[in-house]
This record gives sequence, structure tokens and C-alpha cells, in this order.
Amino acid sequence: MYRIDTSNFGELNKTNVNLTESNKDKYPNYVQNLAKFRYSEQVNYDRYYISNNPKLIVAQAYVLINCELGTEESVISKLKSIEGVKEVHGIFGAYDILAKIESDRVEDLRATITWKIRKIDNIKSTLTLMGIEGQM
Amino acid sequence: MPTAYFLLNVALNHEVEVIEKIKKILKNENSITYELQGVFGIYDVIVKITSDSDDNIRHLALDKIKQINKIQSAITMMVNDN
Repeated sequence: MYRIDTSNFGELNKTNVNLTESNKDKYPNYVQNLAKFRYSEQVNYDRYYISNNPKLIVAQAYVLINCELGTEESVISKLKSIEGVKEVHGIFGAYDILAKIESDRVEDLRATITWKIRKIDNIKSTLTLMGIEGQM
Repeated sequence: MPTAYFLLNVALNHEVEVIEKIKKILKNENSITYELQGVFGIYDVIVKITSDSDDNIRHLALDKIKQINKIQSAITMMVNDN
């Protein structure tokens, strides 16, 4: 799932970099983003995909939610407080709420959906559509 | 701003072709913003269209997008602004 395009890295053409508070400015923004400023933590690049832009491609998913009648507003406000949830809409149609989630790793996406979204009270069912890289 | 999401089912192996066609249609529309994503799951493509009028979205959906061959089904979901 994850691969790395080392051609963008130039002098950074190695798999591991120690990113610290003092040396972070030497690296381009997208590398800093990768590390999410977890200073002094080793950044393992193999786990990420980096596009040619070079801009970090984030994993994204759409979650279609059915909730108990009349609880839409409370569910929406809870969804909005969850990290990684970029958009929430109440919708007319077969589903009640649509949420778009973004993260730089698919694992984080999965964790957000299973442990945070599905734990919200009054949610009856969720349906997840994972974005396909390269089809957008 | 009226917004709608469309969940599309596409004939097998025609996902990329359909996505490109939709993109071509939507790029030529001035008064809209859109987002398009191929997805894994029970639907194949999700499209978000925002426009200044409901009618415009309806027109795009019925007369343009749904005319594309290889789209087998489309579910429309209008965003409830409240």
C-alpha cells in the first residue's frame, strides 16, 4: 500500500531521517508533515506515499452513516470534533450523514472509523468507501 | 450553497474511463465546484458537486452525468444545509 518515490528526495535519498526541533527547517515541508513534528522520532519513509508534486497524498475515506431519527445534529457535532474528519454533511436520501475523513496513513483512517466514529451513540450503521489512489 | 453527492456504480473495469468523462464534463462548467474520487466499497465512484442553484445540479446529474455509458446506477444525496 505504501511506497516511496525517492526521486523527489534529492539529498534526502535515504529511508530514515532523524527529524528534530533543531534540524527540521532543513527539510521540505512535506517531510515535516510526514513526521507530524514528532521530534526526534525516526521517520520511516517506507510507510508513506509521496507524490511527484511533492505534496503528501493523504488516504481518504467517505463514511455514510445511518443514525437514530432526530439525533442527526448531535451525531454531526460529535463527528466534527473527531480528528481527521474533514467534512460532515447531513443529507437527504438513503443515508443520513456523510463524513469525509483524511489522514496520511490508511491505518489511522481505519482506527478513526472503528474506534471513534462507530462508538458514537445513536449511530445505527456505517458504510465506508475508501478512496482509490490514482482515481481522482 | 446547494451541494449534492452522487454515488455511482460503474461497469467493471470502466472506472477510470468514466471518471475521466465526468471530469471532462464538470471542468467545462463554470459555476460549479466539484470533487471526484474512485472508491473501494459497494459503490465505485463518489462525486460531490456544489453549485449556486439546485436546478443546475439536477441538470448536470440527469442530462450529462447519467448519460454516460457504463454508469449502471447513481444515487443522489442532497446536502441538508441545516
